[in-house]
Amino acid sequence: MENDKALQSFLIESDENLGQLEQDIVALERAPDDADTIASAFRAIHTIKGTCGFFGFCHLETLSHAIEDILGAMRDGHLAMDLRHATVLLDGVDEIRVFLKRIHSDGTDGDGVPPALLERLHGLMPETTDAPAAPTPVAPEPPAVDTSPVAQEPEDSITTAPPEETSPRPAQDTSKHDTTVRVDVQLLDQLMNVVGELVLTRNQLLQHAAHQNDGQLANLSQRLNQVTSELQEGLMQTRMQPIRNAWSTYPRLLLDLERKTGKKVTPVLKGGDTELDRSLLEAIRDPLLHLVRNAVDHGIETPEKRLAQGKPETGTLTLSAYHESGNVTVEVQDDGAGLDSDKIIRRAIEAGLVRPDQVGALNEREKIRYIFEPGFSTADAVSDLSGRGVGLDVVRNNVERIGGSIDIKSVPGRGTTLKLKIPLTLAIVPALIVRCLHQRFAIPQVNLMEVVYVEADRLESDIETVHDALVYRLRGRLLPLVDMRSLMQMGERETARDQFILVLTADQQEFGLLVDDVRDTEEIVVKPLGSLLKDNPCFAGATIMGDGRVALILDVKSTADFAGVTRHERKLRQQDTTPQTDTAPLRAAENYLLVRPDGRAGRSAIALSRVSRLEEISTRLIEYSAGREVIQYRGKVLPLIRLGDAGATTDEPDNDVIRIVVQPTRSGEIGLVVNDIIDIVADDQAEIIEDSHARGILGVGILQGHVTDFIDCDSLLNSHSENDHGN
Amino acid sequence: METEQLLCTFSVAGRKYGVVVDKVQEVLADHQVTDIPLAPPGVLGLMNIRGRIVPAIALHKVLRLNSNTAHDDSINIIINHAGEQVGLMVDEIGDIVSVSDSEIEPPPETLKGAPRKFMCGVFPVQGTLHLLLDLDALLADELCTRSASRASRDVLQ
Repeated sequence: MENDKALQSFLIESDENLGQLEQDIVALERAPDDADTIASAFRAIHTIKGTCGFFGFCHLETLSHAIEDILGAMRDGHLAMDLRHATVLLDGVDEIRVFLKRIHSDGTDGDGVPPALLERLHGLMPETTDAPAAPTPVAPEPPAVDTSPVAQEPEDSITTAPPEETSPRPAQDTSKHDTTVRVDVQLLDQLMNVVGELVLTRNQLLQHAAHQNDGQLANLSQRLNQVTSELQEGLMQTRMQPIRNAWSTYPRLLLDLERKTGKKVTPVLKGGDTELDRSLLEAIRDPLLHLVRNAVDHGIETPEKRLAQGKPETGTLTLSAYHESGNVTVEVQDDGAGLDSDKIIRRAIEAGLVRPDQVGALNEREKIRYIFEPGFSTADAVSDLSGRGVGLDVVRNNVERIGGSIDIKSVPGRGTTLKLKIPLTLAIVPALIVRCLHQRFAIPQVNLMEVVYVEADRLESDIETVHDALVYRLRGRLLPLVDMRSLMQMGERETARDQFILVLTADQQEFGLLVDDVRDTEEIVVKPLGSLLKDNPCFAGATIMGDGRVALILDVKSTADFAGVTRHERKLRQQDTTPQTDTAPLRAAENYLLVRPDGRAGRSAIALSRVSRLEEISTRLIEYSAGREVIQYRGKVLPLIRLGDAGATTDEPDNDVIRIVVQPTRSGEIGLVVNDIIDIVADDQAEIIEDSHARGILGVGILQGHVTDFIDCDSLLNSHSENDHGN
Repeated sequence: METEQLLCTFSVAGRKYGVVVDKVQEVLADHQVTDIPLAPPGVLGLMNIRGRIVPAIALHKVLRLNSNTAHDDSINIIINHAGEQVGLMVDEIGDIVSVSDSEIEPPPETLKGAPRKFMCGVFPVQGTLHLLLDLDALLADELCTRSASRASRDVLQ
């Protein structure tokens, strides 16, 4: 039993030592005569070798001995690290890992070191300088071997140094070494639970004490309150780890990538001390790795290409982490080729993610974001797209699952920056507590955009049904609604009760969740639901409320998926915007914006799916360009088209405000000036009698019992510009 | 040599059962249970056991028994299973009995239907036969793991 423990700690320590060794080797390859690094590497392998002897793992000892010899020769200045050495040494490190795995599984160190590897290691020793080159795939030309002798390392500095390295920074750890302990994470989790319970008891005691009129009790409970908070905070701290832990493997990874791609990359790591909860660190480890690999694979160009473009031969990959408004931001930045938004859009069109006529309305950022769409990156997309995009949807999903977000910026020819925003901790999240029927639920604040209050007597009129789907008009947009009670099969809808709509976002799609009441915002402790409930479609976990009862935490993304408002809905909306060619019958269940074009009583309908925004502006803002009315709108020039008879606009109401319906067209956005906005109607019965005589009008139909003109904005725009030419 | 087993006995819908005591962490009465929408039908809800979220299993449902006893004073046997805790809702808790291995017999052939797969034996306590529950089989049952929503979704599709 004792031995088992010793073996366990040997495995853990060796793993750390190997990590250190690996980093040192990589660092030495770049700076071969850094005496401190050589000493640190030597120490690491020396410790492994020594402990091997103690356990009797003679094969592992042979291997570590060979590595130690080489590092020893480097320390003594007989040898300088170059790419060839580094490659073989790193292969040696990998082999030690194999040994450790075997020892972990069956307790023996197997049947010997692969002779080829041993030979290669021995071949590196100075006596036999004509060793065969390491069989690495496509090794780029080795950097100039630094032959200057390494500074002599005093022997005693090694022997007195601590036998094990735990921190990646050798400079700090002589002082740190004695003050840290290794603690099982499970124990920390248990402690966290107990503290959670203590917090609860404290809350109850505080409530009780408040009603007791007992001075001493009040004092004592106040003191308990304070101590508990401190304890909770301290314990949270123990779960925090520097992000450097996730980065430690990158130098090695980059070295491998450099070898494979023939590119040259210098990593720059900033803010490695930034701490975040270890569970989050684990969660972003793979996504980050993916981004780094992508940046080298697709972002940074080959040295020849870089030189041709006047850039330094070696690319720079900058990883930085910092705190920003309660989140941790991690950036992966390369100075490579950047993304080609045209190519991305072409690919997105091919994949059916966007329609050609929608492209005009997209800005650069929106175009680039298509690389995060599932379905964008298929295996054959890699070959015909020189940008990135392999599995970026997976990266986005992983980041969003932990309540984070990902953003991308790219300047063609200058490089790409991916920005990950991650919450500090997963264990405690701010949440809004809501009620549905008799039950409370917690909604994570990250997903919550706003809360809309709907009075009981407005329910009927404000919340509408389109083909059994509930929708709500939120500032001119249609918001798909999900009734929590029916979704969760919790029972019948009470009628005539005030309701709240939570506007939630998931997967860049907004939807509204209908609940009965909104309570308070609270910092909640997230607890797992356990294996029996892992099949549940809507909940991310549970928490314990102040009164000791359990409340479920909504997983907004999976709820949206379960309710079918995400992808599905988005596709529907795309279908809605199918270009209405003159002959095609209008799709059923379209939503229309009803407007009054001018002072007279006529009505016009504009397909809501073709409306980007509604604006009210002062007439003073109208300017003229080539004789046409325009306004400055979001930094662009927006041409205005008077929907009604231009002459009739003079009898506008006294106020000098005009209403504009902003619409995307094939040639950019236009603004339709209307007299009034009447309503939004959903009508699947609208029969449109074609009438191609009037310009800009698709046809005439009856909507809400009134004759209504259906606007065709594309042809409206055409006639508008034709008029200009006529003038 | 005969080995003795300690078994915790209880009754559900008038029938007698037992589980191995080693698995039992504690027995709680009247613990508050929070409903879980769309949960598997056999999972009654969630309990807060000193800061841990523990699901409560409606044992009579999983055992496919008709229970019409409206119990306000339900009893929860908290068991440790595969590193997690699970509460079994029972009607009445019995004694802890010591039973030798030879007294535990395989379930009779006449015992049929769904419940049979949850039994790993039969043992007598003062002349009454008790059924020994196989917790692994019980908690792997679809009534415990298969979310209600999933079932209704499958029907829809």
